[in-house]
Amino acid sequence: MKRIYLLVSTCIALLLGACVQETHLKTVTMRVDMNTVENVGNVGLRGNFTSPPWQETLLLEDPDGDGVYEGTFSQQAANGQISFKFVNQNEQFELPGQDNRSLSFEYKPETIVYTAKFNDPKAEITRN
Amino acid sequence: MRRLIKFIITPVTQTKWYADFLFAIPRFVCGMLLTISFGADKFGMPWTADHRHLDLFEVAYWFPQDVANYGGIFAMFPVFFAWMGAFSEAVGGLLLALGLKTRIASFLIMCTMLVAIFMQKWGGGVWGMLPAMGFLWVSMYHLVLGSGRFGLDYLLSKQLRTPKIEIPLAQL
Repeated sequence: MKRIYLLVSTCIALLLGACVQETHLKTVTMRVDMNTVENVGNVGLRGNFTSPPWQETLLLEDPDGDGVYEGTFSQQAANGQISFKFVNQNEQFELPGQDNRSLSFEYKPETIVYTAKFNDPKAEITRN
Repeated sequence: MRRLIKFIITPVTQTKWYADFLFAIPRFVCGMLLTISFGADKFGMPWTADHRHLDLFEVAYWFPQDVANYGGIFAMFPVFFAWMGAFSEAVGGLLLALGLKTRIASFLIMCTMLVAIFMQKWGGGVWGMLPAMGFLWVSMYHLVLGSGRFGLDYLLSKQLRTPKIEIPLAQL
């Protein structure tokens, strides 16, 4: 009988999520300068973090009209790395034939600002 | 209880030792792959890489989220199923490699691989299903065969054999 109690207790502990890795809030602001690009519209990013991966565009906005599109995304996560590229007109990928951009997360709460120019692999990353 | 344990761990042995050896090779390789790579990537084991930040027997945060996407009962108890699946790969893989409690480990791995094939990989093409299918075949064979001669179950089952009662001739 004791074994049954132990088994049930273990199952309950598992159901309550006691054995799941701790996550932290990651807040990422993506900024992309589109001033050197013609026919700008529906600017966003696609990556391996959407479901299905690389199929969905996370749209960015340019409310002040300075040609720099940006968006802020938040998610609970541990550590890891995402791969992505910026897109124009919803499906025109930047950096054709070149490596994807990547962004690594550390195992702590993070606020990250990722700033880049469309079609330029260099990026400035600030972390808090 | 002793009889049940004996039934579970006593392996089916082949007539020739090299047939057992041949069966043991994929069992060992698959078990080690499961525990070192597939399992340890999502379940905290002593050999899990430090950069994954997983404590012992802790499942990676993203795995219950994946499991919840399967829907149905998996969405109701995602942590339980994720933990069991990861445990089956990491710990079950180790047991399979060692040939210890081989049938229990094989059963857990078989269930996990069936879920992986039908709930996660299905629709993504045969190529994507190959790893899970490979582990499934090996676990199915060893669910029936047990560890064979080249596993700890073989040694343990020998220990559990009922000792022969020897009656001194003088008492007959």
